[in-house]
Amino acid sequence: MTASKALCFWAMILLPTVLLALSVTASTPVSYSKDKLLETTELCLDCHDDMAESLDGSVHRVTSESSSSAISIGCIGCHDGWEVHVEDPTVDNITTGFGLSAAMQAEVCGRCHVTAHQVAMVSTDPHGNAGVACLECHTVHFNSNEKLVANDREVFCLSCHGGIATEFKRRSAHPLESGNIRCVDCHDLSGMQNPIFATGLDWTCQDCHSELSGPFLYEHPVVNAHLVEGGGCVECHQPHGSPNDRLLNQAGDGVCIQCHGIPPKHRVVHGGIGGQHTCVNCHSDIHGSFDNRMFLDPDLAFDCYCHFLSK
Amino acid sequence: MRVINIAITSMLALLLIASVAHSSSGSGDVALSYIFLDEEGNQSVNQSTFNDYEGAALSFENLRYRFTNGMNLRADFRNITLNNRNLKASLRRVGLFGVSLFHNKYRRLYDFEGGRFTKRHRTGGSIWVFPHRYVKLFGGGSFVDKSGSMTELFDATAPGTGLTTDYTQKHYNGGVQFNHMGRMLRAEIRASNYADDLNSSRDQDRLSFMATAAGPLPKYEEVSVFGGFRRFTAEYNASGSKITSNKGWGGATVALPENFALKYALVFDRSGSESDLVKTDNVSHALYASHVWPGLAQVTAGYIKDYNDDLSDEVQVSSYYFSGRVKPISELELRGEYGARSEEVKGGRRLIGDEDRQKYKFSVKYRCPRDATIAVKVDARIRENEQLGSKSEFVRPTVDLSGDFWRFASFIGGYSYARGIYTNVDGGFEFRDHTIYADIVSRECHNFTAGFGGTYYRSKRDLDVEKSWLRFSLGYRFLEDYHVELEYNVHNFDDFVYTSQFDEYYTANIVEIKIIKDLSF
Repeated sequence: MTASKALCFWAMILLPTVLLALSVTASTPVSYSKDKLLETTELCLDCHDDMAESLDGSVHRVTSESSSSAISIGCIGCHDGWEVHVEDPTVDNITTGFGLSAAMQAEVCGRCHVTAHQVAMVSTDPHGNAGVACLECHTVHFNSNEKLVANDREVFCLSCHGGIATEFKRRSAHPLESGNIRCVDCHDLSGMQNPIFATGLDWTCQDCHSELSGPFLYEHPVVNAHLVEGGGCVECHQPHGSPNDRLLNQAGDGVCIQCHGIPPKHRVVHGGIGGQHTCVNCHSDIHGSFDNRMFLDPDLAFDCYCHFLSK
Repeated sequence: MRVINIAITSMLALLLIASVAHSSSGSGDVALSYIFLDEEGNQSVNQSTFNDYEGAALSFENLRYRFTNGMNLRADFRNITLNNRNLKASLRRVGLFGVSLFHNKYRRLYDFEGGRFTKRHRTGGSIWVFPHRYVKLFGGGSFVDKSGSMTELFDATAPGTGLTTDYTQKHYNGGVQFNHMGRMLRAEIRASNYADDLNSSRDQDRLSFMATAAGPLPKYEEVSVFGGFRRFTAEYNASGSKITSNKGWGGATVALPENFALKYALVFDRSGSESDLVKTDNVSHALYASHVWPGLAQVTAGYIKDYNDDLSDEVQVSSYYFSGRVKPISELELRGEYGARSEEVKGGRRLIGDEDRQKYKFSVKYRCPRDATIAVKVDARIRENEQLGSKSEFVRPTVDLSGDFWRFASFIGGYSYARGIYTNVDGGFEFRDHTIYADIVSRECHNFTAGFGGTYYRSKRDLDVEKSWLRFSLGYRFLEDYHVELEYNVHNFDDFVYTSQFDEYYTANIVEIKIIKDLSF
């Protein structure tokens, strides 16, 4: 281990510890008292009386039939500038969600909600980097969906990712359209490790396809390529949908000859078997083998000279 | 089966709780339908119909029940009586507790007559509770069972051979999260077990522990830091073969004056096999800078440096990222992203050698009056490997339309063209896909509704596949909260490359008659 990597390793061990200490000892940010929230919320509702109903049933509700304890945030917890707005009520002197940038929206939500998902979004997640803000997926008012997702259809993500939507209409596809899986079954929106930083053992596919996950005695390196991006299953498969069978990138031997040429002997032996049959007719354990390093079908006979050597 | 029975019983229990408790309001649909299925051809080629079954179906859809004490019950039970059932239910009280359950099953067909298939059952649930305002306890589990038989890959010339599969997977997780005024600490344990009923030597257990924390720095609220650690192990029960991954990550976001911001992230991962003492290290550094013109535009630029170091070689990667968005007027939004990545083998040698990748996305979205939206997007990816002599290029322009174009109907539709070109070390492959889809649903008029939709998919060049799906629906409302619906679906699939002996054509006519009662409590 080089010195720089050792430093990274220990930094990674120590950082959560330091953060834990900070989270315990940190000073509490300025917050409003319960009385202040009640008082100002009543003031707001004098003019915006429909807003109380718009938050009913959500964690942001500002009224309660039973007690005042239901009010945890009030109107002024999110809308800044209320002191001036009360005196001079115009739309310009109070903040509303859609008038804020992505970072500002994250700051407002982050006053209460610091979840793994939210931290992921504002750190290095592709959504955050592309300027996608909280309110493009979540709606606070007039919404009773879980987690305040703007639309709780299973394929809500596809309303922005239209190109991905069409991939699920191809010849072979994961069963998203039939509702059997969801986008978030594979895409972890709470992973603070940016998906493009999915270093090391990425078990996204293996969570459902354990039979192909290994570890095998003889690994096909591409399956467990520990690369930062690329490598692994997606080298050969298109996970959303593919014009080919079994989500394969290319038809026939295409995925194999992307990296491997057809060996000369394969072109001549057994009547030119390499040209007539697909690679995986014989190399059937292509994800990994417990039997031989060439990933050959264990049922094949290995008493011939070439294959004996292969084993 | 026991797990499935428990799940279904639990879901019904949630409904029972709802029925005996003092309710405030609720809504939903109960639907009784019959599906007629007439299909012809190779059943293994058209994925869209793998999970269509003939028979009577009972569904409770979009059930929502809210109690006066703030508890919310949701349930969506589709096709309870059929083999493609998809059931979900949840009960929650915001800020206090929640429990959710799901169960579904689906299959994949592998032969002409549909006799060879694999089926997968997924059953699970999760629970969370706030014992204190700042403390959340959570946990859950799921059970996956897959069994059946499939044909071997590319086995069109030998349809008699097949593989059987029969395994179960169990997943469990549990943890605790502390939140306090913008700070978070979360710890979670996940465990899973894979049991192969056909080959017990492949049984394995997996365990991971993860801790993450995030929050602003005291006295420097403009600086938010985050970090975490995860340890993961997978071990074969029979051989004791074990792989381990230790991953740590951390970083900070800094809000600078004038709407500038900086982000930095570091990931360190060491994965290894304890049986042969082989280890692979991955280190990533990422730095992003962004500037925002509030309500108008944003630009982001990033640089990522990755190191991949294993026993035999070392690869270093440099990546660049640029993105921007601008809203010149409130109805119009333009976005663009570009990324370039260069992998270079610094030590040793690997089969694929050096590799370069690029990707870009551009989109224009215009929101017309009356909530109609049109979006034009282009995204592309290029991967090039000089040493191997291989290259892959994808480009995909897409047009999406949605909205209420007419007073009496809502519309959603689009067109996508996708082109992929692979230059392989030995030959090449190219596909050009066209996908058109549309759905029009009328508003209710004199108690009648009507709908029409369809998807047409065509793959050309080295492939020659045509796939279509047309949908027609007609509905009539009577007695105020009842309605009857008639839906007719036509599916067609044809792969023109295959010869008649193993022809890959399929056609299906599916008619569903449904009587729906709107529930309102």
